[in-house]
Amino acid sequence: MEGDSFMVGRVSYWLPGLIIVFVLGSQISVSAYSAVRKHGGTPELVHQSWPFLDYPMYSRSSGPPVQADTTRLFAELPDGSRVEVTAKFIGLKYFAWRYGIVERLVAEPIGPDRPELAAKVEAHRIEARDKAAFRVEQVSEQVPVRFIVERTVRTLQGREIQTTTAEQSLEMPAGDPGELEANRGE
Amino acid sequence: MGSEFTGNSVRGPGGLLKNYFFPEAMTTRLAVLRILCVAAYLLWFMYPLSYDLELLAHPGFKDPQWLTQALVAVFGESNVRHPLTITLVYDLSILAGMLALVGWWTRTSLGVFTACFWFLLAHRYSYGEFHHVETVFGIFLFMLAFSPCGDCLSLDAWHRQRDPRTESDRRSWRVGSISRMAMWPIVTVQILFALVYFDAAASKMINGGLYWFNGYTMQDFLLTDGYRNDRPLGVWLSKYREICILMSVAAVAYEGLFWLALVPRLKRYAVPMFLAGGVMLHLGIFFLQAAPFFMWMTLYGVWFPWERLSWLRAGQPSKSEAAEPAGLADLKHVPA
Repeated sequence: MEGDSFMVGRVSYWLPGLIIVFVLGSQISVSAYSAVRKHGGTPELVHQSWPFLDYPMYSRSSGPPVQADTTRLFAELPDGSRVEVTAKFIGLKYFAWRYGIVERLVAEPIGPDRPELAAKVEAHRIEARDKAAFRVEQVSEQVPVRFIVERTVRTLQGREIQTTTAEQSLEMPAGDPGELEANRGE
Repeated sequence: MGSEFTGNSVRGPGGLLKNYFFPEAMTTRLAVLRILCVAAYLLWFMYPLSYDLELLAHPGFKDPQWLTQALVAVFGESNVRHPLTITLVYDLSILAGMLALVGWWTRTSLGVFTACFWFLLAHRYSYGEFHHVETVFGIFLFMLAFSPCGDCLSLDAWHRQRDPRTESDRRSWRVGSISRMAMWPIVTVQILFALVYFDAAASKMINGGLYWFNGYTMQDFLLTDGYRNDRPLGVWLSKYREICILMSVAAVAYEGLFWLALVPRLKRYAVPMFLAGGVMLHLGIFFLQAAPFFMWMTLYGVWFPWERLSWLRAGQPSKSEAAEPAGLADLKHVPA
């Protein structure tokens, strides 16, 4: 079709070629690195390579029993009522809410033999608590007195599903409204 | 699923790759994909502005993306995380998107639209969570901005048709030219699809191994996501292990073999099969687990021969002018 009126004349391949090499090279590198290291989408890799990502979602395997563990977070207000603190309520996506707020609130305390880690866990707990409390106060205009994490485990047995529920609570510090205020700006 | 390729092939060093990524083809497919992707984003995929503004209620970034870090380094966090900045970028993305949609200053408007897309996405994913659904779509938008996607079906083309100074090019604004730049974004994103699907299958085999097919694994995913995302169909299906085993095998086979859709000799049969399978797979994932991969399904449009639609064929070069529509099978013209 050279000379055809529809044919674009001279073509330069260098820029599209560079983009092709960059795009496919980046994706292949990330996938290969992830495969070799069994990296599995950790923040370290993601934040260096984004938007070229590995795809390890749903890649773990599991055996029986088949269980679904779901979590709900509630804030109890001074009048005794409960407000559910969902991911949407707090303005986060599900996993950021689950691992950045809920799991930190109820994380097991670390023993005195590892003081640095223990301090970090407690700092995360306070940060998560204050972030959730701040949002609850914004919406309900009341400072919550405690947070309650409700864990429901559903176990598949044959075609039946059995449900068990447990609660953990975390009291808000009493009589120190300034502490919450101080943590808002962090 | 080929397109109106001409038979001219580049010979010599690099000819194989050039004929693979840069075959002579109509620019019509690029133009249709520009309209499809931008319209789908503006009408369907775009988050409401309130979502982005609500993120500013957080005290600061958490694990910010490198693009966000770069912007913060240049402009400062207080400027990047400012409601006015987010609002301006959001509004600019709508304006640029509308211009790209109608094809006015197409490359420039699409470039601005893509930059806004990446800014908003990087900001959104700098608060401790990210997702995969937008990345391939965004990469394709980025490549489109460097392609002749405004060559037809655009105000630019309509203006050119009416411009007396372009006497030598009087084709209809609906008809694309034949260009070696018409296929590279399409071929690249097709390969990208094959890579990410293969990555997903490989991850399952590396992390889960053969146990991934035991049925319990799929039951676990369906039950958990069913309750977490309020998907009663997923909860119901999780009770049937035999079906879950079949679903596991089908999912890994689909992801691991998707690259067959790139093989020239198999394309004719593999592409329709994999696209139909992909639509079923992603609709299934949505209805059973609430994972919305609609952007990927929109991008399946890169396999559709839009230039064959009758409305877009009027005025195209005839088959006698163009060589056989062999698609990537044109590789056979390349000397060994």
